[in-house]
Amino acid sequence: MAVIDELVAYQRMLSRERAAREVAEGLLEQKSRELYEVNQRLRLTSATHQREAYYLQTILDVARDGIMTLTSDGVIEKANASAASIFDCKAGALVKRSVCDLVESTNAIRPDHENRFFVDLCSHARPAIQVVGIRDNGERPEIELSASSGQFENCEIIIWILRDIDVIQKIKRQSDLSQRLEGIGQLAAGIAHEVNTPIQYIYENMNFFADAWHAVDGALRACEQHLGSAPELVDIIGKVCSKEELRFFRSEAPIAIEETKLGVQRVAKIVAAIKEFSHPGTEEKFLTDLNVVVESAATVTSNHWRPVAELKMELDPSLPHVACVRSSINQVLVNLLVNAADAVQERNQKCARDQGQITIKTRYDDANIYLLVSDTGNGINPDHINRIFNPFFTTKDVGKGTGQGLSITYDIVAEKHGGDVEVDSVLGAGTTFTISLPR
Amino acid sequence: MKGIVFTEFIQFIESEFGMVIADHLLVATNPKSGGAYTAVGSYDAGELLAMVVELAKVKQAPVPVLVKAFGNYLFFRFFETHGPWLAAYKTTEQLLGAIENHIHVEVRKLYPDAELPHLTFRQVDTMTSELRYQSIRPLADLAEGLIESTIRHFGDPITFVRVDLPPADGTSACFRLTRTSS
Ligand SMILES: Nc1ncnc2c1ncn2[C@@H]1O[C@H](COP(=O)(O)OP(=O)(O)OP(=O)(O)O)[C@@H](O)[C@H]1O
Ligand SMILES: [Mg+2]
Repeated sequence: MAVIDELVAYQRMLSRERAAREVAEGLLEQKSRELYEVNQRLRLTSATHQREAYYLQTILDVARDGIMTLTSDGVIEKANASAASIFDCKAGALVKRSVCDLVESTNAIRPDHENRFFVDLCSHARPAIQVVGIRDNGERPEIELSASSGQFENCEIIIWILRDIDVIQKIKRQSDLSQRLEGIGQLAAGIAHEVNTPIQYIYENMNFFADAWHAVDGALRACEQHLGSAPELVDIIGKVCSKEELRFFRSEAPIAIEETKLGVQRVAKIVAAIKEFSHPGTEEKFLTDLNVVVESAATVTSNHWRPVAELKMELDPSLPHVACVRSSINQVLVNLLVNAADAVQERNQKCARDQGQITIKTRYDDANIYLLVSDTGNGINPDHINRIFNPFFTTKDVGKGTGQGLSITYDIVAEKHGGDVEVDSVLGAGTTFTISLPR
Repeated sequence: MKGIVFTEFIQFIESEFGMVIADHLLVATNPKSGGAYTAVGSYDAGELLAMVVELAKVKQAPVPVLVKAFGNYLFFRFFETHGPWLAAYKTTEQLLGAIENHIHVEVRKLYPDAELPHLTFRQVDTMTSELRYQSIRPLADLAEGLIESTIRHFGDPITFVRVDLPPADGTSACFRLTRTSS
């Protein structure tokens, strides 16, 4: 009986074990599936995180402002490419350096042993400050710095955002200038239109008067010849005007007419210049060999420079062609060469020498083509240097300069070609104008 | 409650009292789960308690004594299956001190839903220490059996007393351990 009981018990135990095994296998399958799903989710999350990290990295890479993070004792942990370029070093070279070696210490940035200054810098109320950077090559760029701080994994991190002020100011100066020129250009266009019409008929009328005077004078001369044969006429003419007055009138009138014509011609030239200046961008650009343009501008202006200066040309034979409006660039070169000749002539007179020198160079790099026109002329007074590009600004005698040359030059280079004009001048020694045109 | 306690319990019954008794407990208590326990499943703790009560009836022995005996057996089994892992601990106090923060952490990796008791260990001075047991289940007797075996395993000269804490139903107790020599 006991044996049978035991057998029955074994049988039941066995079937329980079997059932248990099936349940366990089911559970195992379920766990495997869960594991798989968790794995999938994990993979997805890690891909999202990677994307996020890449996205942030891209933002850092393309940001124009320098961005870096520091530890609370001023050691750089991360710095983007713009930060590296502000300090003129390779990306990555800033990491682990102390900012105390990269900016001059001031009241705001003076490291004390507790590095209190970082805390002060980062206070929310503090606006951006100007600091002086230290480059390895000794340069000292002006930098705008705004600092902030935050917590990351229980550590304080400090974020510095940096801007190269030199660059900002240069851009601002350029845009100020072009805005001013634009305003003046619009005003001038209006004036030019209004002035043009009367100038046209004044000029035509002067022509008419010149011819008319010629006829009247001829008539008078004929009268004179026959005056003796009609004494009564002498009395009549004598009554209208004295003989002296008439003589004076007859000798001065042609000069007055000629002077007026010249004056009107000059006004017409200014008006034409203003019109040219205020209606830009109509000409098409073609790939052009600027060395050829230089040669032709030199030839056209030779009567200006030959009497006063020797012209040297250092033209790079490998200069790539550049898309430009050839006639406009020609005009730029003519303006610069005439200015150079004028400056050299002035210098020659001042220091009693026969000849100065004018040099034209062409160069290029990856980004630009450069035209350099240098002279050993009088140089530009530093007080004038900010005004030379203004239309109508001239230091030359009335009748010689109209002050249009450089303003047209700037307009052609900067507005029409997206380039830049730089001037470098030493008073009493000479001047170099550098035209850069984007390739 | 985790299935491993059930499978260990059945094995304990089989090895101590034999197959027939084990089968009898399952037949007599007729558990809802059907009694086909697997170590990786989860079952109603009531089924275990019912079997213990049935065992007490069959064997004419008090429940606490049986549960404590199961505790002794459980320690022996832990050591058998996780010996190398437990080798890091050299004394009773070290092992008891590690339960909450090390051993239970490992258990949770395998069974995230395990409802483990709270075990707070405190070294009072060089000779005395204290382990507080707190659980939603009245298994202070099981804890007692485990502690007893632990001391025996390390051969430590330790005696201990158990003080039941309110509500004195086996869900909360404090074990005071005293070294008789250092
Ligand atoms: N190479 C130079 N050396 C010295 N001063 C210069 C030079 N180029 C220009 N300048 C100065 O800049 C001023 C403006 O030049 P710009 O060419 O605009 O007008 P301008 O030569 O006076 O008159 P315009 O060119 O209309 O006949 C000149 O009057 C002169 O004072
Ligand atoms: Mg000029």
